[in-house]
Amino acid sequence: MSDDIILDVKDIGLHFGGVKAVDGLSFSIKKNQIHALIGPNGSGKTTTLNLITGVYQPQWGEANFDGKNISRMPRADIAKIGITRTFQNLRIYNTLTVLEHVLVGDYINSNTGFFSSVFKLPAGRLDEKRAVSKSMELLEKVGLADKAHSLATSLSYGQRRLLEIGRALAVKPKLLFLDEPAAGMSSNEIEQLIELLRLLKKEGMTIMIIEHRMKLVMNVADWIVVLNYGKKIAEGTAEEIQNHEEVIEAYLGKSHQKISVA
Amino acid sequence: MDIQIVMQQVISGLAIGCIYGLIALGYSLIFNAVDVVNLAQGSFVMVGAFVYGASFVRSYGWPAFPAFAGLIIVMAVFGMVCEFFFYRPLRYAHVRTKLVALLALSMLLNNLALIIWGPYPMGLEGPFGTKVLSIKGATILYQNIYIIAITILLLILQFYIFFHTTLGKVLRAVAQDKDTASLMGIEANQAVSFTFAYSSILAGIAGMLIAPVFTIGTGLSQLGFMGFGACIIGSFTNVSGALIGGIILGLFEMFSASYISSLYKSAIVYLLIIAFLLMRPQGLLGKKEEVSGL
Amino acid sequence: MFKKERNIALAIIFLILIITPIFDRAPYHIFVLNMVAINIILVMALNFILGFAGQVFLGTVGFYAIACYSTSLLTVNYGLSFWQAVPFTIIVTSILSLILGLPTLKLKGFYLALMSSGFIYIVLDILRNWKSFTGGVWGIMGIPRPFIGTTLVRSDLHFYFIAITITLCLAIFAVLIEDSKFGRAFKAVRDDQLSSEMLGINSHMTKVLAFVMCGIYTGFAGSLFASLQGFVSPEMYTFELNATYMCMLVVGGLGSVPGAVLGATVLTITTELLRFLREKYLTFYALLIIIVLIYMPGGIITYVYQIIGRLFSLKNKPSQKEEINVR
Repeated sequence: MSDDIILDVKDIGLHFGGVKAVDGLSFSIKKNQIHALIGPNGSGKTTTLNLITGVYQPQWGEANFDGKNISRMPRADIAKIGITRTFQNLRIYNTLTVLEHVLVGDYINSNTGFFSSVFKLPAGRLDEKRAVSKSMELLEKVGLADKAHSLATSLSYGQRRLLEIGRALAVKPKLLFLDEPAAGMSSNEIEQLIELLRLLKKEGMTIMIIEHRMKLVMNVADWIVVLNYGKKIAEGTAEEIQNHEEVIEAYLGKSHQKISVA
Repeated sequence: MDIQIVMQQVISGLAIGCIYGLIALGYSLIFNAVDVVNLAQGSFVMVGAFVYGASFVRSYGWPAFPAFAGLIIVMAVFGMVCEFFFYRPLRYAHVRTKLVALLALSMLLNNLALIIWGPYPMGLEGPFGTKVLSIKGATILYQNIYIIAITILLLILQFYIFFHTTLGKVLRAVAQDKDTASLMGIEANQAVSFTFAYSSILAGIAGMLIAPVFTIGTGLSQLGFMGFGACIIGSFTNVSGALIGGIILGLFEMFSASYISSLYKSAIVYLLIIAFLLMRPQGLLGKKEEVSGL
Repeated sequence: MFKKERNIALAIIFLILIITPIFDRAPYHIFVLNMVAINIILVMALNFILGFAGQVFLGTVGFYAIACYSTSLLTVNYGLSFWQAVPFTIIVTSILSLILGLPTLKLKGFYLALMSSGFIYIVLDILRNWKSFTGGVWGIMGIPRPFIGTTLVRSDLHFYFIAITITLCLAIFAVLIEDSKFGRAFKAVRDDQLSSEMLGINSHMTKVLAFVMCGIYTGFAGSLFASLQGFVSPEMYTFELNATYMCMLVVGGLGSVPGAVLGATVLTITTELLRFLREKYLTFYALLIIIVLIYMPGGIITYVYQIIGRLFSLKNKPSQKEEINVR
């Protein structure tokens, strides 16, 4: 195993009743690269993500992060060692403002105690100041700084996706999973997202996106893993995947056409 | 331990357990249909006892059978009315909100009962009075046998309704899978309304059966807790589990009162339920859930 | 959101509560005011667990009973003064909430709801039956009033000033918690538990913290009530009493500190006005909960916020301090 592998998924699997949602899947994620997990609807992409982040527990197999087995770890601990994610069906907090969302993401990076935080003692005040300025920086990065004090429910669909990314970034993850980040986004917002992903990569972040939109995937991903019926059918660079027989079949049925990139 | 006394206790434990089982069935039907535990189920039992015992039998002097038929009609309508006014407006609200609303419903029913039927508990004689059956020196109340017999009859009837009628198909479909039910073209609101009606009938019958054992009063609404305990011990999602849980709870209650302490009876039962809840929350017959606590 | 409105609302309500005795010193009214202060603390306690952490816990009255009895036993049987008994009472209720909360707060919502309703029955069972310790159905009498310096606080009016001061401090404390990172964590777990866990928040411990805060507040309320009343007996700690506190919170505004304060104030006074109905006033409470849940889920405090926003012409613009951070 080479040193730059950050997450190593080995033969992971989960069956719901008779349905093999994820069936003996193995792949690895390399440091500082953008990976993509693609596949037709119902191919087990989100379930895979749920298995890695502890939403479900795998029935067999394991995932190793930085050499540590993270399967069966409590969910919050998985975030603490550096993995976080966004959600396909947005999960924002109805009663919190945009800024507060990012501050919640920062929660585990603040180590002030109860009294110091509640009574705004010097240490608590300093920490809150750090958290707010850090969060504003992140909001600037995802382009929501001007909305900082509005309720998150007032945001558009695409903006909510960006907010979820900002909130996840506040955790300071080493590995970030984005579940269909472009769903419901306008083309402007997608451009913004692509730029953001490139910026994050430049800053050293490791990312895996789960996406439907080929344009986005082919544009940003360094390495693509393709799933079908819970199994890996191919992996490789964008170019390799576009010409892969089985992938084309899975996406377009038997008619042999090149996957449209447009 | 005297074998006759043990046998008497087993029979009364079984009888009370059957009633807990009936209440539990009502819980599990509504839970499976709408994913919310009807916190007012105990009050439904109380309403059933009052309507049957206090109004039909004591005030109007109806004989047992017409009173029973009347009870079923009243409880069905009552369940639908409760669903329409207290559940339906909140069906898209958070579970937390629904729970608080159902709690308020339970409080409302208890206090309306105080206003309508007065604050004094009433006794009611069952159809067999205090007559007893003697088998080899053990004296067994006919009322207890009656309870067990009615429960068995009801289960057979329920089995028939569930598997051989359209109404049963609707109830089953809703209880098992709401999405499939809506695919089958079953109007969700109507199905939920039926479910409330049916579970309210079950609660009413439980109230009718329990009235001669205890007295009729608002205290009966606390039985909802025992029905809930039966669901925890048996299963929330499995119909036979609810009944078995009820019987286990009834027997346990009877024996702990006799051999451990009668003063702390409810505390001991509570500890049993909480032990089950913490160690096997899916119940004896339930399947383990994939995602918990969300 | 609404931080300014919240602070102004709290200031106004407490100002009214503090100056009322200047105009009205009828003994009965002062007694009602004392009950208002105690109920505010209890409803704020409920707000921690139901409003902030979103857990349907129905056993607050069980804690309340234990708090009242702790103070009574400590003062009457063990000879402690009121001020010595208060911290011990709070230790008792907070440890108890920890013991009860650690296992039960892992459970799904409705499990917790029903288990906690059973908790009240257990507490009552023990209070009624453990005669040698709790005095059985007769309860405990002769609970002392607090001393200030060397003078005993005999009059209800003076007691009220102590009670309202404690209530005010606890309200400020609640607001400070709401504004801290812990307050945000409560709401995050309440609004979406799964995504909060994905951000590394331990949802279980967050709920336990809210629960312990609930225990601590109930401890204060219990101490004050035992001392105000002078005796305790098991009869008053009913499931219905719990429902009235829930009604106060829902009507005032779930998850809002001034909502809890306003709900407790308004409904405690309403209850007194409806005394002639005896227990039937609970019917009114039950209907009120359902109507508020359906037609104004934010409670009356949302209207108060609107009025305050208009009166003080507050627009929710970023405050200056936060603007500095933007740059």
